[in-house]
Amino acid sequence: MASINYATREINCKLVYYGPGLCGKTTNLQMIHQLLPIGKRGDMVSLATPGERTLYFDFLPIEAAEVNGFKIKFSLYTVPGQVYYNATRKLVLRGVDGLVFVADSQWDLMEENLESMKNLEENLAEYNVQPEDRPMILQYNKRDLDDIAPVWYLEYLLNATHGVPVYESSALDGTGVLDTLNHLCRFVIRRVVHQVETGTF
Amino acid sequence: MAETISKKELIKKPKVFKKFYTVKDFIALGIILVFGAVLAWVFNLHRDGFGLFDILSQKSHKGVALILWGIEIAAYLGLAYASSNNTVITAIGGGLGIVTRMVASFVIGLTQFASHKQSLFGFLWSVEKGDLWAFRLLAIVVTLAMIFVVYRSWYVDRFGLFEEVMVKKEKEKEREEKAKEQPKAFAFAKKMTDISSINVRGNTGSRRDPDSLMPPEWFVPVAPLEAAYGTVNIPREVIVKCVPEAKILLTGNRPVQVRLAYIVPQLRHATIWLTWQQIFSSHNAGVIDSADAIAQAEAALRDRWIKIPAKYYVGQVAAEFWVMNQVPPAWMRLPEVPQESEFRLEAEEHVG
Repeated sequence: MASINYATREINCKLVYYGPGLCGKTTNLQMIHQLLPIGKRGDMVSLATPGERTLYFDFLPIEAAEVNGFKIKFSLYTVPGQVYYNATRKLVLRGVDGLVFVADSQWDLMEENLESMKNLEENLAEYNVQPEDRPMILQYNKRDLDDIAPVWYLEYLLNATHGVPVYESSALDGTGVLDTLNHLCRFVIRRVVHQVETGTF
Repeated sequence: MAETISKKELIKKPKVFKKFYTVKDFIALGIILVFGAVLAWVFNLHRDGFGLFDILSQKSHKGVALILWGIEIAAYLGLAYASSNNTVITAIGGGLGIVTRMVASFVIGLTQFASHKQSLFGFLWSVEKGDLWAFRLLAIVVTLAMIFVVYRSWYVDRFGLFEEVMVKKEKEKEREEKAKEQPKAFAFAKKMTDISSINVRGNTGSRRDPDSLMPPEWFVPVAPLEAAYGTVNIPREVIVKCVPEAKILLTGNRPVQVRLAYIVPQLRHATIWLTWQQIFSSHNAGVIDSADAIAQAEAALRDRWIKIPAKYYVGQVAAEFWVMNQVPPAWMRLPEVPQESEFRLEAEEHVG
């Protein structure tokens, strides 16, 4: 749930990058950190194993332009993808305002993508949130690899019932990373502004 | 634990010891040392060198001697504070002044003893000089204590004294070695992004057990969809990977045909799980030799599971089976915010 500070005229929103292990969630954040100018982002905090596996979560604060006289700030989080860290994933999801589901495009990882999507739905349900309640973008990552599934198949597998916007990406070289984030941020801003205007915030 | 900390480790703690390492502080303590030694020399010339009260007659009241001791300590403290303007240095200086003069007095006394060829016992106790023996004893104790403190680590290392301390040290060493041997459970990732260090692609491939020959726990066998006609061709290698014994059964070059009726109900699962019997019950004439011996061997494989990854069938399933029911969620239909178009996070120009 976004928080509004009327004194400082700031709106803070929480965005979470979700997906199976090693799909590129942390790489997304690293690239955002790398690409954005210093004034637009803070330091990235990352708690990872020596094998670059996220142990708890990554965190990256970014700042956006003013909307309706309010400065919008986004806190970007990732979750650990490994199946056995579900308690952490659940915790990170608390109060989420927007989601990026990062899917691994490799053929051999279709089941992992499905499992992770199912896990996301279950964890959101524990907070009484349906996936369609929160802005979400699907990001089909690792599109630069050879042995990857076509987009239409990923759509069928992961987006058949959601119908959310989709981006192809290659997080390692930054392709599609900022497009995904920009699109999600706009939807999150729209939703927050709408909630404020309708008094449902 | 304080005994086990080496000097080097102590020096590493800047917050505690920083203020002791200014030149000014060293000079202050040096002045105290010199002052104490000079006092001892002067007093020793006059009489025994144990304090200002040496200037009094032996019949003076003991309280006066105590006051003079106080004055002397106050002088050390004042001198140390004037030199360093630091309360910690001042406190150390007060003690150091007394200790220095005690040690100096003892050394000077020893010199006198040697030059006058007096017996050691007579010199130490100086009974003929009344209460002064107590101060000489104090000087001896202080001197020995100083030697003990300065050479303490040498005793411990050479003679194994203070076994408790030694055991502590050994345990600490063991702990340190163990910590070095054990791999770190985690490490903080670098704050600044260094793309060259990202090695995510090195870990590609399935994170499931790739050799698992059983369907996942959640899998529920699905009845075939009889309305789905046709077959898909699956390479023999896919079958052999799950059932290695089948290598001798699958002769020829033709791929294995799997009925769409079995594939379609599982399309949502990505990986298809079928039994040997489901695959080879029909449509595979000529793939398996019909000789009796072979037929018997095949019978033993009927209940074995075979998994067919998505990439082997996706391109062969007709479009009509890929049913999607996309309904854009409510948040996608919200009106645009007036300044929304101004919002855009863009990469820095110099980054490629």
